[in-house]
Amino acid sequence: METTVRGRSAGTGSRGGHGREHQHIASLCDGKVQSLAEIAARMKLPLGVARVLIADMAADGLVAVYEPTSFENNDAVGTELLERVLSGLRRL
Amino acid sequence: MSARPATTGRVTSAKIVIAGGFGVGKTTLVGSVSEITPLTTEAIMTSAGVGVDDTRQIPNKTTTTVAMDFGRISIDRDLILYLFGTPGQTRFWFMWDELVRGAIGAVVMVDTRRLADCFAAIDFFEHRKLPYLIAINCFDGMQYHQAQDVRDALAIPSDVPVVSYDARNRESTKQVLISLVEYVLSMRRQRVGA
Repeated sequence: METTVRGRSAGTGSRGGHGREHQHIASLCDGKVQSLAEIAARMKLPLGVARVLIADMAADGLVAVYEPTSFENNDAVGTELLERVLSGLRRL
Repeated sequence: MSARPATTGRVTSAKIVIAGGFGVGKTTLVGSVSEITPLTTEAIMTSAGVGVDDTRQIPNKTTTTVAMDFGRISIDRDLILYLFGTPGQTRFWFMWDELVRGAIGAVVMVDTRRLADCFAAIDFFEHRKLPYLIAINCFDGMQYHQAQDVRDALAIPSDVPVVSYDARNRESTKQVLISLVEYVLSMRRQRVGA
């Protein structure tokens, strides 16, 4: 759900073969990062449908997909990220 | 063209789950700190009999659509924090594995006039070993019970933080999120040091 997606604005290749949903997603995350949940909500699509569309676009190189960080493992990466979250919240 | 030389930096996200009974103010809390107007997304959830080994063998599994509200806070350029409100109907809780998977932790919002509404959420987080704190929403600046009374009534372990706040107030909500992250960090440090 909180997997993030960023459009690849290089504009290479033809978009002729892509449907309206793909174009809508491309415009939503053009130059900015959006989560799967945000894209689904803004397009009024169920999460699962948005997930499939984005996977197609990722396969075609139209978007970059970034997995969220999991905090289930007690590793240093998670701790460092938690510290970033904490200082970010304090700055708000 | 953008002045930034590269836009391919690794971006990551994290999430905090906001739970509590229907009408306790989850969306108000999310909206008070979110940089976007809270959005609603729908997911189709599948359930099957609990305790059954192989759900693929079950012809009459049921599906249901549940909606949840969420907001977003950009922590820095490469890190986005999402706040996901749980669906109000607690009977759908057991289906929300995806919602809690990988989460930093959860805020359980408590309305002291309807304490029992948060039992399901607390049970769920205890079962899933997801760190959580109890946030007592003070409607109209009124607090009907003391934190210790709530802790006793809900049988909350002594190490779990119980805080009071006002969901409409940004500073107050911010402090709840800070308390949760501090709590999760201290738990991790304890485990590492043990």
